[in-house]
Amino acid sequence: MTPIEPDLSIQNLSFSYPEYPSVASRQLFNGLSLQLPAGNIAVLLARPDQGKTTLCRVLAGLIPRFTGGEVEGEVRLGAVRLLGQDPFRLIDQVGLVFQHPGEQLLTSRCDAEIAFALESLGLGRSEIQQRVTGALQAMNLDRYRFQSPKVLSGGEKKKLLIACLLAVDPRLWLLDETLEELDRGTKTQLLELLKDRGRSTLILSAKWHDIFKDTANLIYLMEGGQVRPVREKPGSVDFHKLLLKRGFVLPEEQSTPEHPSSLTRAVTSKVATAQTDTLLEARDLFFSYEEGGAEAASPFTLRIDRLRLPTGKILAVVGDNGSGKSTLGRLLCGLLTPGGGEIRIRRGGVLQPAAAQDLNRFTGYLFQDPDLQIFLPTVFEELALGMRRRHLSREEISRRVQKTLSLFGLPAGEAPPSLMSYGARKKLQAGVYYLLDRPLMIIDEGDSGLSVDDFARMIGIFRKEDGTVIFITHDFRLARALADEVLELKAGRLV
Amino acid sequence: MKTEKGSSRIVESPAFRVALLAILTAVTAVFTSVVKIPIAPTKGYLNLGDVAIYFTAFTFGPVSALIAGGVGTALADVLSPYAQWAPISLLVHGLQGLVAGLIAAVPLRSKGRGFNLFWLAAAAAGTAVMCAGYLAGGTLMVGFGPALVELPGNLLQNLVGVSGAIPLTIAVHRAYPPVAKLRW
Amino acid sequence: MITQVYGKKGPSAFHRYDPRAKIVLLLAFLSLFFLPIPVGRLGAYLAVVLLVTGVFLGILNILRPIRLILPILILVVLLTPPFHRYGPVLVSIRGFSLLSVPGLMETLRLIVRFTGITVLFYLFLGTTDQENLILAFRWFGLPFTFSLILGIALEYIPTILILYSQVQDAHRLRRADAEPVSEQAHPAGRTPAGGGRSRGEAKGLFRRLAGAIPVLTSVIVLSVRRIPTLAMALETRGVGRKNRRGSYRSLKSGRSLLIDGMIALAVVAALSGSVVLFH
Repeated sequence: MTPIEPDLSIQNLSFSYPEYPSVASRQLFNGLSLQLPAGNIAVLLARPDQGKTTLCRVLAGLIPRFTGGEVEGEVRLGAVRLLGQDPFRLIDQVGLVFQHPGEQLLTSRCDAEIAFALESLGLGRSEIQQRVTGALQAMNLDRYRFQSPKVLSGGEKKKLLIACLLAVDPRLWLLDETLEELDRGTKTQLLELLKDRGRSTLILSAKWHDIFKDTANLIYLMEGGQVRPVREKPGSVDFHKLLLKRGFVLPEEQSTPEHPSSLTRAVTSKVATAQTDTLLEARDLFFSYEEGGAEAASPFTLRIDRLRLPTGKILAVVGDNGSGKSTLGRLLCGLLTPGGGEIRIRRGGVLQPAAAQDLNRFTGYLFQDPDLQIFLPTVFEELALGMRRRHLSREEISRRVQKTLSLFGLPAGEAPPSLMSYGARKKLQAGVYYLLDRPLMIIDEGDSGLSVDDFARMIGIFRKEDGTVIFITHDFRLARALADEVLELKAGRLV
Repeated sequence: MKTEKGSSRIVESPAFRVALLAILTAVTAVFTSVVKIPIAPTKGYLNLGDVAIYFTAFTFGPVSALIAGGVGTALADVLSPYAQWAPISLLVHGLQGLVAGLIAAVPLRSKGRGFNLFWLAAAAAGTAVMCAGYLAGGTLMVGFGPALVELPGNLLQNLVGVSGAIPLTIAVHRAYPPVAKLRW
Repeated sequence: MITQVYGKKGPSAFHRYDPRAKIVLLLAFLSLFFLPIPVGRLGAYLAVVLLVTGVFLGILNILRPIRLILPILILVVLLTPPFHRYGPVLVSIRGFSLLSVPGLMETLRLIVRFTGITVLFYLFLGTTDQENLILAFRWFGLPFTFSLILGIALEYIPTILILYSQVQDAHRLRRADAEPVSEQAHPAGRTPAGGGRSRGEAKGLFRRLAGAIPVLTSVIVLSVRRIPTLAMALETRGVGRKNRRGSYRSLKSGRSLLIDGMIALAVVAALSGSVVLFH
């Protein structure tokens, strides 16, 4: 039997981002090796910030070209050496789907988007047109042919990006967290497609998807800058234990006070009081977006008869995309004014009606994008900003900042936020609001970009006796695992 | 074992230049459209477009400011009810950005990156170009009288532009130091 | 883009008219309004433009652009005569000439010119969609790189607008408890109309500008950080290759181009003819 030649061969890959004053050079890969035989679909599991996106971009030639840094090692695709090549020369060899589709879309029409790379390759017009049609039909996107990619949902945008790759049909497919946000049917369809084509595929993911069991040939784990194959068989007890230990799946069983799961242990840092007060109460809440608003493509109405937020508790608001989770969040922090109904908040021991501006001060909101509010040169200044306005002494400010740094595991105060990793910036955002100490804390999709442990720890830090924490997520299991109460939204109504 | 260092000359890649110019153009267009304080009825509102143009000139250099300034403001006009001003905006703000960028770039050869008097000189020159340009263009479109009436507004516009651009440039360089490498 | 202008329900013939020919016609008519032709005739040309607009797009679309420029036209009426007070006098107060014949003529000329230019742009941009316009520019010689910059900038404008709004929200929430209530709404937002330049107002203006710097800084940092990512996206689609670029779509050539082109040439000929003949 002839040995199967590896199609993709990574040997001893090491990479570190460049150094900046006060930011230590971040070494992401350290002698990383991986062999992927031709025609295989491999899944690479790695927690956030371990370098999934960086690895994809190194393979595609984009890093260190656009970021600086030092790369060592040898990467081959068949006979082609990948490192050091210009990315645009490799597009028929290596295909990459970005993690955030909005960042990879370039044109104002779906068919033009698919055609773009084909035009770059210099193909003839009829060839291009054939491939565009084929790709659109294969991904069920033909009805969007003349429309702007912007009207597509998140999952559909990913399908469009996959269609772009289908049209080019490169030898190696790199899917960076592509399976998130795709519904089950599309996931199956995509993996079947890849299997049929016999293309070598590397799927990078922060979570384990059941569907991998039947379609992936190889499973790897990336940690500490290295990759190791997972030998445990998917579906076996050992396999499940391994993933559980590493944080790629959540504990299935409900945790009880006597046997709390490791996650809830992190969250329940304070003893919940037996009696709870009401922190916020909303009655007959009503909000509606007209057609074509930024949040909803079609008219959308949120209607909640009664909502009560108890003190000392952690609540989860769950729902699919478009169910109104973010709308509710924005209503509760005063960024949106309800069309009807009343919100009352606890002040001075009693519930009082609250206007939008009162809610602005009452509620802290961690946006999904942690960079929206960052504008200062150092972590210290970002954390200290809110406190300076309260006229605290310099020593007191410094003390509180240091406490926050260690509490959230942030790098030293002199680090520039814009150069930190994504996870670190999310923690910084949390640290800022921790110091602002608002009674109601809302965390919007905070689990993206943070490991489950880190997220659970963050929620635990925010929990307090006289306040409430709400986290918004589309991950039902996470909500059940971490929250005291789960509120489900469906089409703008509480279920 | 090969060691590949990131290319410090990435600004020479066509894709990078396209990306840089496209985004700066979009930013300029947004700054021009988004903030409107009406002060004169002809074209007439105070906007932050000149903040964006001077910021681009100080940070990214003359060519970037030429294209982002000209095309950005022209696009803002085209997307507003005042599309007829687009060709003039293209020329005038493009030149404004070019001139300001050229003057602001002078001390770089002697390694002066931060705020310096050349920024003020650049803004002065940019103001002159912009006001003269709109006076000339305005005369063609609506006559000398109305164009003259625009002049104080345009001067104020530039004053706002440079007052905003200087702290903004400093703040951006401190918040995101790698930006200094992106000029060409 | 700006193609929000539709005639009676749906695209008119003018919408379908070849954009390259439209550009030729636009330039021809634009230059017409700057020629030293007697005002009366200029007015006649304006009437033709208005007629075309009315026929192809409906009367409402003649009124809309004119309504927008009414304040400017008033300004023209008020401010042009003072600068043209030579020549035979029409109106004077106590010997001070307010309006002379050349003044009147110049005023009318400017009104016709500005109205004409406005309606021409309105007509042109309202009936041509973005991609076709860019393709037309490319046909006339705009390099691919420039058309890419233009197209992507247009795609990113809404993105950055949304970003701006989100940054405003995030900053507003963050500094909520530090500021008096009245300051919060929009540090650099809209003020009520009327722009008296009193000193108090000027101070308020600069204070608002200072308050806007954090928001603007965040927006710029976020935008600048997207540049390398966008460049990466472009290179994953092959931008930078030296080979000749293929073309998925181009403007229709063949019979419709021929017809539209001949129409354009005929119109230009008629215009030039009428200018020369009646000189």
